[in-house]
Amino acid sequence: MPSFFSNKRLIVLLASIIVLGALIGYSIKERKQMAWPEQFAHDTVGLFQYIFNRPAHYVAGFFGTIQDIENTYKENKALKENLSDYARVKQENRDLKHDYQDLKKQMNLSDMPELSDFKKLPALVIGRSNDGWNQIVIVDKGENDGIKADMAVVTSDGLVGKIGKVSKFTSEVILLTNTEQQNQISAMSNHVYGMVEGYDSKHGTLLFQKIPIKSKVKKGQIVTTSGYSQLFPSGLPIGKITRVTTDQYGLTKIAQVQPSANFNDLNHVVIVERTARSAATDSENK
Amino acid sequence: MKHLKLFFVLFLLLIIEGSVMPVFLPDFQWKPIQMVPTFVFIFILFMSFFLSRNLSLLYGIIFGFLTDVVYTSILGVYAFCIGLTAYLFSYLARLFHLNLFIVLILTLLGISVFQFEVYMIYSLIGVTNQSLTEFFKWRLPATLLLNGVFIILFYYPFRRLLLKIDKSSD
Repeated sequence: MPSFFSNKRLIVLLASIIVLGALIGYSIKERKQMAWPEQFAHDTVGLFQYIFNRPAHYVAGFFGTIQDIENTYKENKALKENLSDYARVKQENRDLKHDYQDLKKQMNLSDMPELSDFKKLPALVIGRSNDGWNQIVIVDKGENDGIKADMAVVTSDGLVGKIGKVSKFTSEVILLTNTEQQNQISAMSNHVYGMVEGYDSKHGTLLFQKIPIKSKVKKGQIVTTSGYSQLFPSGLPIGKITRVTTDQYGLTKIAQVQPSANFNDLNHVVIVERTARSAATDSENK
Repeated sequence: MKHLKLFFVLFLLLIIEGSVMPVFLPDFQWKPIQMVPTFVFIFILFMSFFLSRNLSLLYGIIFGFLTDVVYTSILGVYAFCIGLTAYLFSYLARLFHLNLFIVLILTLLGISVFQFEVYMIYSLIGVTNQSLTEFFKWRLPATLLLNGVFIILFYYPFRRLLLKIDKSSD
């Protein structure tokens, strides 16, 4: 193939590398809104994703059910053990809530929304980036349903990620396991505050960083959101601490957190809109 | 008519890659195995083998870009890599007499090259921090296995379809 690297081909190749570079540069900066051709592609593909994804889930669900039946006995036993405490805890919780509301009323604070209050917007996962590098899933709710960028996304087990770009009828969720668009989430564990950022793919753990060196964080503690991030409510469970180390300079502690949500099996998710105001919503209203 | 058929098949594969396969693929929580379906790319390669080079380049870029828009956060990477690899492999395929075995080997080689290109660009701009050993140890073998099975299952239907389209367009 002597003619393969002819001048014309080389020029086309170089030109396309330049175009590629420009496109990467355009898409790497943080964008909250998609350009309209992108939105159109997203919404059109989203419709077909929905049509194909639902039957697939039913078929998978059928086989899943057979497995479930096998496990039922074991699960039932474990659940019963957990349940013995439930009634007492529930009653205690109710009493405490009542007391709390009373006290709040006395302080004339009753119309202030809590940091932990949120509205739930259920959504279905209709597609997933299949290359394993982009940790993105696509859900079937978009701008028309009131979804905004940076909202928290949870399953019944815990936090899974935040909303990335939003189009009219679909939106993408950037999972906590994504390494490129770093999720920085203000988090706490037993009133010790830090940031959850970064994912260690080797151990399958999230990194809970910037913890004060003197604080007492231990293995087994539960990490939740603190509510000091932009749009996240407080108290969403993230995971359990498995290991505590110090950072490379010895100034802060780093904890490895085993996420409580299963990122591989996402079907129903809940998008969380917090009721308390934040800097982001304030600037929008102005 | 030709374009409608090609577009339909490729679009179907694109949807299956992203919406059906993730539901059925086993999740490997015990090991960092990554099994990646690259069905669109396989069909594009088949197009470059059995149909025409320019058509496969065109569709490679279109559907690569669609993959970029819908499934990734960085535009242009898949469009570039699919287009380039399909173009190069259409030359390579001219050297051989194509049968199932040769096509299987060529396509698996193509997938490896294509995945490696995407991997290089992604690690350059920081989308992934997967190490090279992880890539070769956990990602590539599983991916080639899955796609190898797909190629063997769909070699004859795809070839028949493409040859029919080729004949009707003459």
